[in-house]
Amino acid sequence: MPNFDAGSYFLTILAPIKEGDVPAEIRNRSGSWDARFRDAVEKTQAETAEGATDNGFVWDDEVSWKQRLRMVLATLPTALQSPATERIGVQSPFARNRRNHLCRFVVIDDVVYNGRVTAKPIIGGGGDPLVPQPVDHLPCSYLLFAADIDAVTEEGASLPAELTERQQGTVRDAYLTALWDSAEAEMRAVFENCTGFDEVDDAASFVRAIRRCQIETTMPFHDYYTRLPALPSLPFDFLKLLVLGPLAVFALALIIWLGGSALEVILNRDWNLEGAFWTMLAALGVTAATAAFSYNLALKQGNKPFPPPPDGDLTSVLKALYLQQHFSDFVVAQQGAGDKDLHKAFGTFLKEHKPEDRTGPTQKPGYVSARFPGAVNP
Amino acid sequence: MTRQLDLADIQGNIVRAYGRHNYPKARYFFLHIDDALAGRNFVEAVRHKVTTATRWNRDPEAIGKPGGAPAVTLNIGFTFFGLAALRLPTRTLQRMPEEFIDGMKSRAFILGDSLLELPEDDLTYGDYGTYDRVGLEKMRPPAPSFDDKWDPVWKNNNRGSDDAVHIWMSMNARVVPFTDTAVGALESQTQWLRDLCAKVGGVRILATNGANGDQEYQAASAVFDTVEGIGMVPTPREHFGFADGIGDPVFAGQLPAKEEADRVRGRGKWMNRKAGWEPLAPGEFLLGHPDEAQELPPTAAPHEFMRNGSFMAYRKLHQNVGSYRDYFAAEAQKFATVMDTPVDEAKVTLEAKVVGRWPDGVPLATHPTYAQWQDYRTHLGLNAEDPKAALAAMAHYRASAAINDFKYGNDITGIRCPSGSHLRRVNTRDYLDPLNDLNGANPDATTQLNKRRRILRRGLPYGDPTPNTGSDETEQGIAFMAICASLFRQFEFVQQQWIQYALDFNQGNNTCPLVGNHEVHKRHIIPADPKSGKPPYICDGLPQFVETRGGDYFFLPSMTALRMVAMGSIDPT
Repeated sequence: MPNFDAGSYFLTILAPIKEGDVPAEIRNRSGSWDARFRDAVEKTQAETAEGATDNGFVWDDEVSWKQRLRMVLATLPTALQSPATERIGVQSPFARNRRNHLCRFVVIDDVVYNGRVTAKPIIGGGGDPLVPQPVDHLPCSYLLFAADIDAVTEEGASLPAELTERQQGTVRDAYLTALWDSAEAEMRAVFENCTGFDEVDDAASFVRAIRRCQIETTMPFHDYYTRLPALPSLPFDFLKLLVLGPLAVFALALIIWLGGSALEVILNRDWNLEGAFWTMLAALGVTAATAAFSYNLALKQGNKPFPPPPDGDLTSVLKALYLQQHFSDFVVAQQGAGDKDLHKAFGTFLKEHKPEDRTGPTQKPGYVSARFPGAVNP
Repeated sequence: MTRQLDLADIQGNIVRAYGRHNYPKARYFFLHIDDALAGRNFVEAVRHKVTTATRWNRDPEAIGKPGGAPAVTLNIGFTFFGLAALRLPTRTLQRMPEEFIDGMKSRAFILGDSLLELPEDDLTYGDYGTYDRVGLEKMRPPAPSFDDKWDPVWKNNNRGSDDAVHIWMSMNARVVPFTDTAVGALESQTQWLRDLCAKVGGVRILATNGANGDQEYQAASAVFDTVEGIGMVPTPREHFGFADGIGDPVFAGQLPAKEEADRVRGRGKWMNRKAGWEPLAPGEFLLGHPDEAQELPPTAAPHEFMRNGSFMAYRKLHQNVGSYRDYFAAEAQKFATVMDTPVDEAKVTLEAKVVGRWPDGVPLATHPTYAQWQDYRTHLGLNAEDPKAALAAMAHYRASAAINDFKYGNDITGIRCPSGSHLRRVNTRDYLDPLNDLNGANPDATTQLNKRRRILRRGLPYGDPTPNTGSDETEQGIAFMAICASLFRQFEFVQQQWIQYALDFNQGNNTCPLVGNHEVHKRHIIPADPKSGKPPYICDGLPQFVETRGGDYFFLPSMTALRMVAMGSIDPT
């Protein structure tokens, strides 16, 4: 169940990328990604006096779906998170919603070829080196999309500690709907290169298509604990005793039964070893049962989600970033102020920045600093 | 057992900071190789004059004579494209470290010389139609390119250009006793270099140094004091008035055993209470020797070409003395009010809290308050009325281990020496020991996470040293050189992670208050002792105190390597 942990939902999808080339009629359709890209490049070149003629782009060249997907991803802007991206000033489409902490696209070409099965040079093994071994492949290339979001259906809601499978599905679908509603053009441009998305026409069909590609997230990553909460843990010493106790009884009974039987033959005696035999079998049964119980307990415990970090939702995080920056400014500005002035200024600060109101004023998603023009929501 | 270093094979500037060894005057030359054969002939002529690391006869009578200290030193280094111009084998060139191949200009983003990953000209403003655009170019006009203010010799230093810098040569000279005039041998050796270039042809001195590009070389000089009854004496001060070049690392084999035992304190690596300080492994500063990871770092082939060589970053660091003066004059008023101290005391305390040492070099780590510092000065005899006695006391203190023998394990919170100060950033000592507790002292903290990030600092100030005269526009600063086995792991790491960033010091994005880039991050936090009842103080609006005006990365070959270059016989197979 690691799709849900620490109040967050971790979505991982693998969408198969279409094989072959993009048909010309799709590339040339008005409003296609290719047409828009072409227009944008030509417009930019027209604006800059130099280099407007030979740009090196050949617009009617053939392009595979995979090449095109990579081009779309290459032009998908990141957030305004560095001086260079701030200067370019094109915001990431994922900054248009308020639940996305992190996401990434990766094109997975194929499995990595690791060479022949290793063999020890002296002992041998690994087969005849003159005979080629099979090389593993994926059936096709995949687009991986991974998103780390607040596990909520309403932006700004506080993070839940527990969610049923069904509730998790609702969270995922609400996010995907918000994504489609706020970034339909980008989602179309990316996913039309993938199999299973041709019929996608609205939020509902987009959600269905993505759901078909979802795989379980087995290694979620979360980094908002400033102080570790009480985490679920196993009574390990007790479990050890529970399993090793009967195992020891089994081992003892086994030795008595085997050793006794051997001595019977050697010394030509006849003992009643039935008790030892049945004890052995019973102990084995109990060991298996307690082992199974411990294993299940460990799995169950492992499936228990960690508690959500306090104020770990994006709305609170953004407000915290906003407040941290403004409070630093406040401290600097008030250095050396007298008690009365400081008290008054802090009153003004509280009125202006409303620390108790998480929704505003606050920093918008996708900005690294509140100082940036347009980064603050009043 | 300690292997003796082959000192005669190692260039002398690697083991000695000449400025501290009575060579307070320097000329740095930058040359271009037009022709490979001429270049090899040039190297052949130069190599016989190169100053090596051999120990000198210290008799003043022996100066300039065989076995004695030279009157003028000579050292040489090459950029990657300098080595390429000498037609080194491709197999040798292709295994050179990538930062060395890149050169300093391409690393401007990593070094914090530029805030942008690409030069401004290369940034595209593509408008991709459907995507949100904040429309910034009107709000934020493109900034001038980061190298606009660089000296012409560095601005024109581009790959493949006829003005690309290929060779660095340095000459450090003694002075006529008790004057600030270099001995005549400096000019005669300069003339020898000019004549040599004319003779071999195909190697040119790039005479475009200085802000106006009209200098044949970058001149540098220690700041001199006139001492009554003695004359002029060189000081270790830079243009902000602080003693510089104090805590250089010490590596095994660098110093005679007798000297090493004392010098290594505070300058080597701290092992544990019993072993104390030990010299760093030579491989941190010399290629072909085991380093602090107990590895032989991979280098280019052949081994004998790289062994006993090292890498060097040369940086011309301009000092905005006007901004420095104005900022601390204004900030001292505020600091004095908040801390309730006289303005004079506030000013020097504030500066010391930025630097990490008092102007005379006394570390805040050992004497954190103004009163303690003054008492210590009196104790050392630095406040003596007789200038000769004060000078002698200063020289004695600077040569003592006391100036360097300290750690930060007892000052994790930075109440004595602020965690973000210049000194704690460039040499973190034991501060980063993973077992340190953020709120408590750790007397057993070791320097494990610092010993792979050390650099040997060389160089001298340049420009008019008269105090309180210069402005941001006048030429003054430091011709700075950092020598280390890996520019990437040592110099660039310190520059990127510790000078231009402060996560390791729990100070967020704050940059070094002295030499950091202050374009965006302009704050420095001075923690206060809670017992004092005073609040911490935050310096805000730090202007740019230090600016890069050029520089590049150089390989400092061993004497064997110079001989191989000259012979054109480098066989990497």
